[in-house]
Amino acid sequence: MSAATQGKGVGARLVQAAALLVVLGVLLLAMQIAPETRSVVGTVAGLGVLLLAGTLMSELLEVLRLPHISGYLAAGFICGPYVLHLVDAETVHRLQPVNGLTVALISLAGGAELKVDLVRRTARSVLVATLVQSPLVFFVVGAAFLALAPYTPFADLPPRAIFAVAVLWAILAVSRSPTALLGIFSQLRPKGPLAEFSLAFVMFSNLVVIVMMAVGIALVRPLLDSDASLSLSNLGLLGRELLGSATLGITLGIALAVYLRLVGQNLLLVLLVLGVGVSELLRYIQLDAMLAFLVAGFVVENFSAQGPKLLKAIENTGAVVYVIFFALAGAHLDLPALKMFYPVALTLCLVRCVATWGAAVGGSWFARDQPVVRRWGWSGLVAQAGLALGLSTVVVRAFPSVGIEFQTMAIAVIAINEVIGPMVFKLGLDRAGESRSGDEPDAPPSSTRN
Amino acid sequence: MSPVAALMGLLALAYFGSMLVGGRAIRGYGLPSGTEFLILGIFIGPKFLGLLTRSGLSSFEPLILFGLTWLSMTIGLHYGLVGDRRVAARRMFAGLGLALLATVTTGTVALLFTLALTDFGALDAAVLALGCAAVSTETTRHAVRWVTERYGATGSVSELVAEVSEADDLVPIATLAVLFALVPQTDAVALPLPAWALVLATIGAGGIMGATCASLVDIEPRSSQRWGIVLGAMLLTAGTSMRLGLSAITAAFVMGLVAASLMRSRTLVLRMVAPTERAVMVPTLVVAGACVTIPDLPGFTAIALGVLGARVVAKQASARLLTRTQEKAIPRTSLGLGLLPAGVLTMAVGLACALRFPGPVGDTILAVAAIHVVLGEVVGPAMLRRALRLSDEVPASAAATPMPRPRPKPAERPRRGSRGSRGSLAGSRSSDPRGTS
Repeated sequence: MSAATQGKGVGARLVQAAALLVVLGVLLLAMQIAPETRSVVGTVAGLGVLLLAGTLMSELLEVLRLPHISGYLAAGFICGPYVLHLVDAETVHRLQPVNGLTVALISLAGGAELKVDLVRRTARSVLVATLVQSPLVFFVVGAAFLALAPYTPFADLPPRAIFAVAVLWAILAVSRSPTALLGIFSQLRPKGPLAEFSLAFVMFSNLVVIVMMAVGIALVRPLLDSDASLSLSNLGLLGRELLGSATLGITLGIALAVYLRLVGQNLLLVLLVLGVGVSELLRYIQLDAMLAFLVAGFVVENFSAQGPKLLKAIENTGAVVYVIFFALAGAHLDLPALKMFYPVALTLCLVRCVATWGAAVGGSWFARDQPVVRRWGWSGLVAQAGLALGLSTVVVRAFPSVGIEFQTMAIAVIAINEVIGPMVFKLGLDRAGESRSGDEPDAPPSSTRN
Repeated sequence: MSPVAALMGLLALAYFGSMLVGGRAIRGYGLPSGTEFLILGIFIGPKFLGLLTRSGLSSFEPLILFGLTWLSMTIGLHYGLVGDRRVAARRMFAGLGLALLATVTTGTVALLFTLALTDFGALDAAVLALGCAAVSTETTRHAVRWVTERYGATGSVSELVAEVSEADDLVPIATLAVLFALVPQTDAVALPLPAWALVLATIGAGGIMGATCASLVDIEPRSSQRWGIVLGAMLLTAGTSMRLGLSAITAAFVMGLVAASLMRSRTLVLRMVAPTERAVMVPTLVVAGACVTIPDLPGFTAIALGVLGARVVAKQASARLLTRTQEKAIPRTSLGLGLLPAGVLTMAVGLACALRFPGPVGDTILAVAAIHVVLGEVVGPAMLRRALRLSDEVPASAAATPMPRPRPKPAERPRRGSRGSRGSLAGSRSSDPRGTS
């Protein structure tokens, strides 16, 4: 446990627990007095309760050595539409644009963490791991899905359609969560081979899985739609999207570096404008925001001296950004879907975990990684979150006939991975001895009254 | 393109534009109250260029509410402080008394004009009068600090004006709580309460969350977690009070005030939130400007002119009362005009009224607020500089060359509480009054 955490005694934890009760109580009372309200008011109050309850819950769960992300998810789930109903489904929906800002900041931070030196050091491991992980997880999870198909909503589909859905599901299983990874990094500031490997691999696998999904959709389209024929035109579009995003990311990175060098002020405002405005612009011109911001962060870090300044500014916003993102994800956890599919979902999660572990051990052996990576390299690859959900949305759009059931089941599985993934990764980093003093106080609790 | 993208683009434009005219590029020509953003908002709003439409503006409502309440909370956090120094109780009472004078004067004039010139009923007239009074009270500390720092003013008058401008923020915020309590949202609240109980509920909501925030911040050594606590508490205060139909601005102010009073780590929190002030102020002013409209109200011009005249008279009276005990010769008329600048708090109060009382009442209050801000910007800083110069508090060199003083290096900064720094605001929280640092 970190210094800051150890410094908190029973009294502090009791204060936090009492504060959590006060926070929930105040809003519950307000809702009793004024049951109906305008949606904008619900949004403001919802954001407030998610932030405060998320922060407090993460503190209280620290006692159990759980990562902060688990606390945020738990708070979102408890406050969300299926438990206390302090944040209703409409509010969750209205707060989705916040995710655009979150993804932008997280991607910028991710890119800025990727130093050229790190990429060089981990290139071999990442390449081998990708070559082993992607096919192995793809085939094992795909096979498991086919075996479990009678227990899924796709049982009545013809065999070739079930095969197509299994392919899409297997691609989804290959995706990891850069958000969860960086969330853990933000809390623990880990340093060491495991942290380096996980960061480089997860960022790279982002690209791999996006390409895999585009290829997969093109290949299975004739199986799900009898009128369609095999067409690889989507790949051309994808290539243009990736190239365009990277180019824009480079431009953005240069502009950001110049700004940081020449002005360097009001970074909060600049990040806000970038995160919301540029994300919106990228969505409008149909480019990938995550890739563009990732490249921008990479450019600032590696081709200017402004990386630390950028990282510091993002770190300052990080705490709030991660709480909102994961608390919203917690509020979004679809309890009915989980209830409906939990036996299948749990089995698929278990199979994916085992396949990930096996592939990580095998890949590390081939790449001759350090023992700590061989042992715990899989731990950072379990979590799934925003990227996987985004991919499931892509499937819904591409195949409306099976998409909704696919997404409902995906949400159930992602929910489980989202909860257990960060816990496993924190355990791995703790055991590998790479969790650093991320939790250490950045300023002493004041003792003097001003 | 969506309204969000449009606003963000405009914000970026406004920000970089203001950097050119107010930042380090061409220092010396920036506007002290941030009026350029207000004017930009008016310019791009539905009444002029139409880049921001009415429907587009409604989609920014959460952003507006966040901006208003965050600014109010930061005012509460450093209420009664000039830099790191606490304003003496005597000066606080003086500031509050003079603010009340302005409120009563302008409110009375607004009420009389409204009853005489419009067909409003008593309640609507009272709401309009109280709203006009609430937006006619403030002397923005930003403008005062801008003048004193830019011209290196030191002395008893500079100090007095700075402290009084810090103290008067409470009055418009309290007036807003009364205003909201006078017209409760009975359709939303299942438990109708009398007006005094609603005012108490506003204070209670802010107080509870302020105390919660203070207790949590004091046991939290990590600034990352402190951010979540402060921001979450503020949003929850705002959301809860709005749900109950109370004034979110007042509740957030009380939250900040109570938190600052109870927490041991106030300085840390103040340093933490200080850089956000401008980041929030800029979009708030732009959106507030876009919401300004000439109200469809007979006699609006007369009401606005009447309130403006009453404000000028009240500030003149304030200047005379303030400097009654000063021994040196002070140009009181200039000083009175120098107390006219109004800033983001005035616009925040006006905007809150416009959102709560849509229609001619709210539009009039917001328009009056915008008039105060723009005219105050034109007249106030120049007159304050003149008053301070004639009071021998502005060095001759600075008066001749109206350029900002170079920022002192840390080692050169006057020590807090030292006698030499008492009359100067240069050693206060920021050497850049607009928060650009």
